[in-house]
Amino acid sequence: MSEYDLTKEIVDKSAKTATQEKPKEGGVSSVGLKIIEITQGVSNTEGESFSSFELIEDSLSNNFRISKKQRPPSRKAIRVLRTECSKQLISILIWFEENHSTENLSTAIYFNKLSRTIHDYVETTFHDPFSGFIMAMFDGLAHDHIWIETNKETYSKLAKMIKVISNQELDYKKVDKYIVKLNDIGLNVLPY
Amino acid sequence: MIFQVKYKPDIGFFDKLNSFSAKFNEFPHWETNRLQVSLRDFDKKHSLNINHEAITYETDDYNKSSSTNVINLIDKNFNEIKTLDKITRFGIRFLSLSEVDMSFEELNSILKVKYFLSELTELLSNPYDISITTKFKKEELDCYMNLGPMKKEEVRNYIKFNTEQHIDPSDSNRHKLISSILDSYPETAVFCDFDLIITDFRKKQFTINEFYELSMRTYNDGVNQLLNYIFEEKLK
Repeated sequence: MSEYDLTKEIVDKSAKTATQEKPKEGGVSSVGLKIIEITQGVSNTEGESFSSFELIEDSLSNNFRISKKQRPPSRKAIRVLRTECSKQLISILIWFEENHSTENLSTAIYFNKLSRTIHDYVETTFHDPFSGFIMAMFDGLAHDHIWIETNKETYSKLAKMIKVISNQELDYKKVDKYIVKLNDIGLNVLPY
Repeated sequence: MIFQVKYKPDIGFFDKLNSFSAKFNEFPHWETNRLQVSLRDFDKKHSLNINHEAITYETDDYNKSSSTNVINLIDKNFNEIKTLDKITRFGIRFLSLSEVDMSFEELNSILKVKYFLSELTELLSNPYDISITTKFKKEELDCYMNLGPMKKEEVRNYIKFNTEQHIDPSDSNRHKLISSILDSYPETAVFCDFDLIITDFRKKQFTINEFYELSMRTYNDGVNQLLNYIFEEKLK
């Protein structure tokens, strides 16, 4: 077995160990081989296990090494970014509520804006349960281009839902309930 | 904070320099080369420098009561060396760090989202460090502001602690003290460099106290509003 293969196997094993064991706060899980450091599991405020290490590829030797991450995501940063994203989404949804029609050519531009806003947020703040809700909302609108036929009242309800959810402390159970409500107002989100 | 009053120089100033400086007896240490006087307090870390064209008050450990006291003294005794109509420039500069409980990258993300369109950040290959520089007018004040995220190790490049005037040169623990000051800076903070000046006195001739109060109010309101905007956590 080459050094690279051995290294990769160790890294794969330790990755599995860290996520499957769900280490408790302050607890330690270790992989006892010469190149691996002790890793420490940490729970974030939503009770989700947060992997405290990351894999970094050494481009010179083609080996992987484990590096300890600095800190879990800050609750304050998540709330600030979420609020900013919500403001933008609500502004776009209100535009749809006031202007949307199948003849309005600007609708496609605004839908593209909605898509970019959601995907930008999910890319940077995927650990926020709010990401799950807005992705489900987007999938529901995008599926079979439902957004074209969706009426103004639905867009108004979506804007109100985002406002209500954004200001709350969220966990994935709560977000699941709100995703089910999306289905109730006409978005087809449940297949996902 | 750095507070400065600039005025037209004249040769008669030098006769009055020492008697004017003697009014500021709350500064225990002084130094002079006959052309200028430097008054210092190493405990409170503030100093006053007086020369033929400017009075400069500087503090590295801002205390409202101490600073107000010094400004009041300058205002009260200024007529001994000059009249108000000889003033050419008022200036006050605040260099502040607002500590945040998040990583530098998170703070940078927040500022990007708050100040730049996503199209711009994409065009700039998602910058990992940004700052915003603006110039604007507020009432009679010309304002210059530079704001951005800052790591602990960068602070010394932007905030120069006045070691020459605010640390006792005879103190054997001088280097330890400087080291502990650098160590006490926050890991991550919002850095703000806020400069307020008045050079145009055609509309109104300010007294020293009036300028100081206006600047403090503008600075406090401005920075508070900015931080509230940046760290808004709830939709209204």
